[in-house]
Amino acid sequence: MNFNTLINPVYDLKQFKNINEAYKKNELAYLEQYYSKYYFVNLKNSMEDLYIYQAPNKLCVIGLAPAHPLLQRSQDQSSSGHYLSNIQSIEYDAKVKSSINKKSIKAGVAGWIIDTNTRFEHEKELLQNKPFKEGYIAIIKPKQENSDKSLSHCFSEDRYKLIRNLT
Amino acid sequence: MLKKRLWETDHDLSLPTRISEESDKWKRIRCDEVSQDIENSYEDIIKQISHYNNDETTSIIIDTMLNSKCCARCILRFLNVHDYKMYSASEEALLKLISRIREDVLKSTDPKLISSTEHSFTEILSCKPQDKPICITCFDLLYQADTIECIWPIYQSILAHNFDVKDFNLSVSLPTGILVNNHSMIVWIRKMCNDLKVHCSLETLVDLKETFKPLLGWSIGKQTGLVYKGQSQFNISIEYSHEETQRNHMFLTKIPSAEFGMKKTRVKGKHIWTGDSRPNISNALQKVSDEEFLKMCKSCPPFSVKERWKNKPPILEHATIYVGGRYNKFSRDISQTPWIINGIKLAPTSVSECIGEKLRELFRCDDYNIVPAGREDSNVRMLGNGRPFFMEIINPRNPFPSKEALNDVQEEINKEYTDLVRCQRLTMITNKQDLSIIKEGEETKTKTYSALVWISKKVTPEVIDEINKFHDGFTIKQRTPIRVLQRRSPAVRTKKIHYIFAEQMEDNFLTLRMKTEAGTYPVLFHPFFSEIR
Repeated sequence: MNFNTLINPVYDLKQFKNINEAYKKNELAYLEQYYSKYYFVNLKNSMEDLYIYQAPNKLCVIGLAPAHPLLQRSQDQSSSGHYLSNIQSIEYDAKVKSSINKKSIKAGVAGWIIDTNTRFEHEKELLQNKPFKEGYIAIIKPKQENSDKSLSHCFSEDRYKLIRNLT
Repeated sequence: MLKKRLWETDHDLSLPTRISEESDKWKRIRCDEVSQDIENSYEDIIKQISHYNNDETTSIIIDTMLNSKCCARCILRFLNVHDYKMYSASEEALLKLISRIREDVLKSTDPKLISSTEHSFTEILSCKPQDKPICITCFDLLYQADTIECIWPIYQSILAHNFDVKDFNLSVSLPTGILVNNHSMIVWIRKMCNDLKVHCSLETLVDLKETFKPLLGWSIGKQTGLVYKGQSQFNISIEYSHEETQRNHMFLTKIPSAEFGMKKTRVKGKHIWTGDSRPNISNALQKVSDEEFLKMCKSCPPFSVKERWKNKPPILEHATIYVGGRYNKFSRDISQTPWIINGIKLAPTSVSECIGEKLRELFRCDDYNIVPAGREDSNVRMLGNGRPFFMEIINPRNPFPSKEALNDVQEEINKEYTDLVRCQRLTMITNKQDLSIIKEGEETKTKTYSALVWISKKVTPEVIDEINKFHDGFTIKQRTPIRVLQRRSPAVRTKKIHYIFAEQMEDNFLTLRMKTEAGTYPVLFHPFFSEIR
């Protein structure tokens, strides 16, 4: 390690060739490097599915899954407003699990809310336009550290696509 | 929990030498010849004693304790002799002194007395040490404080570990039985006074530890050449026990005014009694009146004991010392500190181990702890001048290595781990206040980063120019990254980016160099879940 490389490090691009190809094909491929993707299928209500991305430290980011009615092209903006107002109720419910009141939303994983997406206040279209990145709904700390137990009721991305007939 | 590391579990210590003959056990290591002093300072001693007790009480104290066959040093304690050097005189000399005092006070209380006989037990007490009855107020600890038998375990330990020190301090823990027996003797003496219709002035005495420690300290000093002083960084702790009397304070639970309660708790599945710490016992004894004590305590006056004291292995500890320096990390495969989850090692080694293990051999310490000014992930390199850090060196046997030895270790580290870690400017930290510089560094210093960036469109000179427009810096509001949300609060923090510079590479790649405020998470710079505004 000579003095010059200490100040001006060198990067070998050959190492990153595969990543380059993968990222070009799928914009969201970089997520897979860090997060494990799970999908919560809402069998009772019509298709109100959620994705659950789990980070290595077990924290879960939840948001709308592709089959969610709000993300279908036919939906208009007003119904997202109704949905967003329901998100306020998550803030006060420390353990979001079952809904007694129809208006609250199932989170998909039992635990405590660490943070909700405050950008919805000013950017209402975020939920529908960028649901898988900036439009996430909340970050939850699962009650159970063991993913096998906390997320046993969820599906992998491939199975989810099968269940909902997606490509 | 990891088991505590000790130098001796991984390395051999020097072999112990045995005391060659039984008789050697009783040899005394004396610092000075004090017998002469006793003759000369007799007047002072008598003055001192009379300051605390009247003559009648003094004679009763002496007689009562001689009747119970207490050792001469303990008698001096009860007479309130505070000149600790006196205690190092031989038992014979001290008994002579006590006899003389006794004669004088008897004469003064009964002027008609022409001569008095020596107390019968002074004979017994000045016999051969092995045959002497065991003192009930010190279990012979004070009597033997300067003998080879007492010093030997400590002396052995110092030699075995080969501590390179010049001074030492002592921490001593005495058997609990001492507390009750001494109090019992006081109560008994007071009773004797009352029985003889003498006004008892006995209220205080010299604490056993106060006379034991200097004697032990001076003798160890003479034997080893080390200096016994209170401010020493090197501490010897030794715990003494006496099984025979260790439960003789239990009767206090039956005296309501003692307010002495014991609780039964479970530790590791076993039932043990707690609440009988030495301070608790002392306090309880203070609250009990003499009458209650005489009624409830069986051993008043204290029973004679069959066994002498025993000691637990001494613990030798040098205070933690500190070494500072800077390190570089060239590998993306090793972590900063050992990375073990559920018993599995997730990285082959760490910066801490590369530097620490070699330092451990130099300082001959139990363990080490790296304290760096900030962290980096395993897959991130640490280049440039290196990250400042200091290493805590725990219980070093060799606390003062030479500058050359430190430089040699530094070279060894750099040679052996040449593609992984480099260590620079390794120096001893002599002023503890300097350590705070490291924590300040983590929180206040600016950091410079270089990153390889991939963007979702091809990198062109226009893209580079767009970025470099912000060359002179800007401010961002950053939310706590998900990666650390379990530890830190989900706040929005304003961070200043002082400087940013992009350079084009092939395809969708560019390199970004930036200088940021401390506490910025640069990896999350590219908007991911909108963690940056």
